[in-house]
Amino acid sequence: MKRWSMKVWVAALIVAGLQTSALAYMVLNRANLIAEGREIVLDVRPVDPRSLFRGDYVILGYGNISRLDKELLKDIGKRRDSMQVFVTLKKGDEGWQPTSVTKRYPANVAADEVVLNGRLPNRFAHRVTYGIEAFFVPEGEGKELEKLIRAGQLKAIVAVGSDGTAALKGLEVEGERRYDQPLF
Amino acid sequence: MLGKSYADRLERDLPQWIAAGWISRDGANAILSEVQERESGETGSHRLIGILSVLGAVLIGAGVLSFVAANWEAMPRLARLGLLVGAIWTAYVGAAITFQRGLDMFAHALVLLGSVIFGASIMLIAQMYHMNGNPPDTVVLWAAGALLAGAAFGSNPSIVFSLLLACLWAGWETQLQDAVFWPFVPVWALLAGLLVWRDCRYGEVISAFAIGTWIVSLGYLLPDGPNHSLVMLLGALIAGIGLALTQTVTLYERHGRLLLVLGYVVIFAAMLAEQFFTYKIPFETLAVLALITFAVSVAAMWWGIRTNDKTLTRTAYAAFAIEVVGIYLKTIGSLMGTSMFFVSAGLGVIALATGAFWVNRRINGQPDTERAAS
Repeated sequence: MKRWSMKVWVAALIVAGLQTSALAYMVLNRANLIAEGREIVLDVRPVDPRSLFRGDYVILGYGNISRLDKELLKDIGKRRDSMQVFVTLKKGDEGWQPTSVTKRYPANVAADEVVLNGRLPNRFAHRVTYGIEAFFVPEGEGKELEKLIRAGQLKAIVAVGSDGTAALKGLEVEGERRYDQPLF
Repeated sequence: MLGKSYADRLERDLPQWIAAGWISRDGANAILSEVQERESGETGSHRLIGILSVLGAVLIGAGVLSFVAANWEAMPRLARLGLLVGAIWTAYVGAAITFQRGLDMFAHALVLLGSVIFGASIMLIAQMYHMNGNPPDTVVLWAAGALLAGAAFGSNPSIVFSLLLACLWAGWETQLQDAVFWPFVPVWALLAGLLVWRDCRYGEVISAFAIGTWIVSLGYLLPDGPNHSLVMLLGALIAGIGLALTQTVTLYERHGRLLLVLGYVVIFAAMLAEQFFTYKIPFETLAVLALITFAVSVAAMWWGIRTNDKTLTRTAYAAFAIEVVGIYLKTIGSLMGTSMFFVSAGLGVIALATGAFWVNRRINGQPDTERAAS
C-alpha cells in the first residue's frame, strides 16, 4: 500500500523541524538572557521546599521583593489574579529593595535601579513571583541547599533582561560563587 | 463505547426486519455471522495491535518524563537535550516509514511518542534554566506541538493527547486564577471540531466530557456567585440539540446521542450542585429539586430504553443512585426528613420498576409471541 507516499515524509520533516525550532528558541532565548542581561545579587529567604514533575527543586524566596509592602501595591489600582506587574528595585546598604510597583515598564530607570517583570498570583495577597523561585537540583541533592538557605548563607545571582524578564544565573554561598549556570 | 459496531447495529435491527418480512431468518443469521467474522477477524486484531502500541508509547513517554525529572548528572545537560531531540526525529521519521509501509497502528503510536518527548524536552529546558514563570504556559506549547503532529500526520491519538493537555492547561489556569477560564472554549472548539471531522469516536467522547466539565464549572465560578440554573439551561439546550439530531439527521445520529448524554449529565451535575453544595437550602426547595431530578432521570431511562441507547440508560441509572445517596446524606440529620426520603425513594423505585416492566413488555412482547408461534 503506497498511500500518500511523499506526504508523510513532509509531515515528519515539518513536525520534527518545527518542534526542534521551538525547543531551540527556548534555549537560545534563555542563554541570551543569562549572557546579556544585567546581573544582580539578591538575598534568599527560606521557604518550605517541595518536589514536582520536573524533578527535585528548592524554592527560593526573596524576602521583601517576593512579599511586597502593602503601600507599594497601592499605586497599581485595582488588582487582578495572575496580573503582570513591574517592580523597580534600588540598590542600598541592605541590598536590592523594592521602591515602586507599576503596571507598565517605567519610563525612567536610574543607573542604580533595575526593573523586574513579575506576576501577582493572587489579587488579595502581596506575593509576587518572577519566575526565579525554583532551583532544580539532581535527585536527592536538595537537602544540602536547603540547609544553606536556612542558615542565611545563600544569595541568588539573577540576570535581568531589558524587558524585566529575570533568569536565575547561579547561587552564591558565603560570598563565593557556586552553582554557576552554564549557557547551554 | 457510544459508537456501536456494524454487527451490533445489525443485531438490533435484524429481528425487526425479519418481523417485517423483508428477509428470512436464515438470511439474517448468514448476514450477521459474516459481518461478525469480518469485524472480529481483521479489524478486531488490528484494533488490539493499535491499542497495545499506543499504550507502549505512553509507557515509554512516561519513562522519558521520569528521565528528565531525575536530573541525572552523569550526562551533560546539553547531551540530554540532544538525546531527546534525536528521539523526536527518530519517532517522526519512524512514523513516516511505518505509514508508508501501511503499518498505521505502529505509526500512530510513534507520532504520539514524538509528541510526548517534545513535552519532556520542554520540561528539561525549564529545568535547565530554572524557569518557573507561569507553569501552564509550558503546557500550552506542548499542546500546540502535539496538535501540529496530529494534524500533519492525520493521527488521532496525538490530537486527543493535545486535547488532554488543553484540559490540563485550563484546569491549571482555573485553579490559579479562581475564575472562569474563557480561552479554553475556542481551543476546545478547534480540537473537538477536528476530532468530529476526522470521525474519531473516542476523541468525540473525551471532547464532550471536557466541555461538560467546563460548563459545570461555570456554575461555581461565574463572578456573580453560584449560578447552577444557567448550567441547567445550557445542559437542556445541549440535550435538546442532541435529541433533534437523533430524530432528524440519520448521518449524525451518533453525535446526537452523545450530545443527549452530555446535556443530561450537565443538567444532573448542576442539579446535584444546587441541592447538595448550596449553603443552607430550605427543605421544601430540596424536595422539589429532588423530585425533578428523579423525574428527569426516569425520563432519560425511558428514552434510553426506547431508543436502545445503553449509554444514556446506564448514565441515568447511575444518576438515580447518586441522587438517592445524596438525599440520604443530606436528610440524615432529621428523622422526619429521613422517613420522607425512604418513602419517596421507595415509591420512585417502584414506579420505575413498573415503568420498566411496561416498556419491556412493549418492546420485547411482539417478537416473543411470534417466535413461539413459528
